[in-house]
Amino acid sequence: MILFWIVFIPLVGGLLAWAAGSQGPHATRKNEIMARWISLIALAIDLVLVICLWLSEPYTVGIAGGAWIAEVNRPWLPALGISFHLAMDGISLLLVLLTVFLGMAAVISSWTEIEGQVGFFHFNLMATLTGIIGVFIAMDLFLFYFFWELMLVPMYFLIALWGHEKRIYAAAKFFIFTQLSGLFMLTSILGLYFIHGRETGIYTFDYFKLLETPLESGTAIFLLLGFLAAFLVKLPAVPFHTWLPDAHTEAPTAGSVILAGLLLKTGGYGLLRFAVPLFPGASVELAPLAMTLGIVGILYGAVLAFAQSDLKRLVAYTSVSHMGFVLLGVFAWNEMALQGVVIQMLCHGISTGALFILAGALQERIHTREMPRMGGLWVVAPRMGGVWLFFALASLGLPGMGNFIGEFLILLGTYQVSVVMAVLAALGLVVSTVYAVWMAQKAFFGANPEGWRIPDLEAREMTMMAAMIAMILWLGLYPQPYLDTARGGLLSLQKIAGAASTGSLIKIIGRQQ
Amino acid sequence: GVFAAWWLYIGRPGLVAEVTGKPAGDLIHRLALSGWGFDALYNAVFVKPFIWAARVNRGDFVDLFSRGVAWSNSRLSLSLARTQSGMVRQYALGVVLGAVIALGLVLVL
Repeated sequence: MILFWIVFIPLVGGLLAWAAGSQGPHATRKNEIMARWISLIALAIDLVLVICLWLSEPYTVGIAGGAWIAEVNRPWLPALGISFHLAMDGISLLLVLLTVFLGMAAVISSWTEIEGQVGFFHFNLMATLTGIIGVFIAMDLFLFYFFWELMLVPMYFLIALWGHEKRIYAAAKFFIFTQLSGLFMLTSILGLYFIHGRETGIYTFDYFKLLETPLESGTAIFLLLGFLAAFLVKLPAVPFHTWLPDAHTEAPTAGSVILAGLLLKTGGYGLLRFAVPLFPGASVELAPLAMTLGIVGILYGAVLAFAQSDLKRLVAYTSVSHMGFVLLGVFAWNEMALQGVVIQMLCHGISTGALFILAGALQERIHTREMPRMGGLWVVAPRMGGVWLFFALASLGLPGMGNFIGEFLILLGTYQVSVVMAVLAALGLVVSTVYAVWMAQKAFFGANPEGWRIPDLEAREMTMMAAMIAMILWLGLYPQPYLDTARGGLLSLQKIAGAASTGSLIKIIGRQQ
Repeated sequence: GVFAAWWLYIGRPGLVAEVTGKPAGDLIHRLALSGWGFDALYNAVFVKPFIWAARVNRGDFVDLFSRGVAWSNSRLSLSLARTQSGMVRQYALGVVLGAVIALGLVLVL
């Protein structure tokens, strides 16, 4: 039952925060503070629960021969084959940990930024987090789709109500892109449901039963495309990434942190858990195309990041670039690449979340995001400059920080599949250095043309940054605990995919080269 | 190599100035000084094209598709909105025309 609490405590916290924060026109500062504290405490309780799960070795729940940590399985709508089935393995544990951690960072970072309807803001924040946690542990496809859509609506409100200048445009664009792609995924889910029912007589949405659906290759490709539509838009992969810069730029700080840090990872997780294992043969056929899209994403995102003058937009495009690595790694589908994917998702979440928090803090102080107007800020705000430089270096993949581990493992894994692709992807390391150093230099070094004098990071912000710096260094210098946690889940995913296809993905891709 | 360096700068100090005075010698001197001109080479081959490609695509050409969809939708909606004249006579005329066409279709098909 612990999974049930982990999913729904944020929602309950959000409802309480909404109630506490909104007393109509009589809302006072005390109400707002109470709303914030309630959200923070709810997430802290969640964090404790997840850490307890993490520390509880060994993995005792064995479903389908995999290494699962916890499970909840209750029938929900048995007439339609829908059950309330949650299950957590190493991969989902790490991602839920990231969710709660970044959720707390988001709440702390919007302590002073949000004015107006603070209770409702925190409710939307918590509801989005509930949706995200649910996405990471749902094992029933209908439930997965339910949580997938649950993530979208509160995020739309977060962007549209508390965002910046072009917020309505950005929120609508985000919603339409992700909703439409989600509908394609729904079509695929229903297709899988009906085919499974027709072949075996049992109509069920359960992930483990649907894994064994016998599919012809043509049908499998169509269904895989439906899932890929949703996950590639969310990831985002290059032709479908255009919602991201607008959404990330115009969202409030907490919204950007959750968007970049978590929502993008749901796309990566979906690929790992659903797209490839459900359709291994079709994945093999689409793998070269998908990996190419990944490489295009890495390079295109990096070049475009360099071109931006808006600081948040630059960081947004770096997310496109980093997620290109994830796409590449998933479709390389060997142990090293998959380990890299998990570490890359964790580290990108933390480092990009930190960059967005800093950009938000900077915007609160100088009320602009335009880099041509910034410069020489290190002198007036050395702590901010130092932390910014740290995360810029993390973003470019400096060894010693977790992003390096992620990108390196993905490159190693890709090299085993295709040397050409690994070389092209490695070019991404060069281009990412360009934008990372550029963004640090433009904002913090050089002359200070407008003579900004701003307050430096305060205690609240520094504590949060210290925690995130510690996490990145931990992941960079000693990632073994994380690799161990994820290994069981990744191996069982590989087994599921390998058992159903006619050979391992590596061998088949290798033959096609 | 060491002897050549000694000869050029200590043995015969005037030799270097004499060589670099001539245009050919000056060219070699500048080439050696700038590290075989690699800075200029990199600038031309990598830096300038990269910056050009980045600046030219600043608005992200991939976005043109979704902006195009949004633009055509609002154009369509605006032009359809022109039919809302508010004059009930025209609406009644529309209903009658539609009924005539529908009836005609039923009779013909």
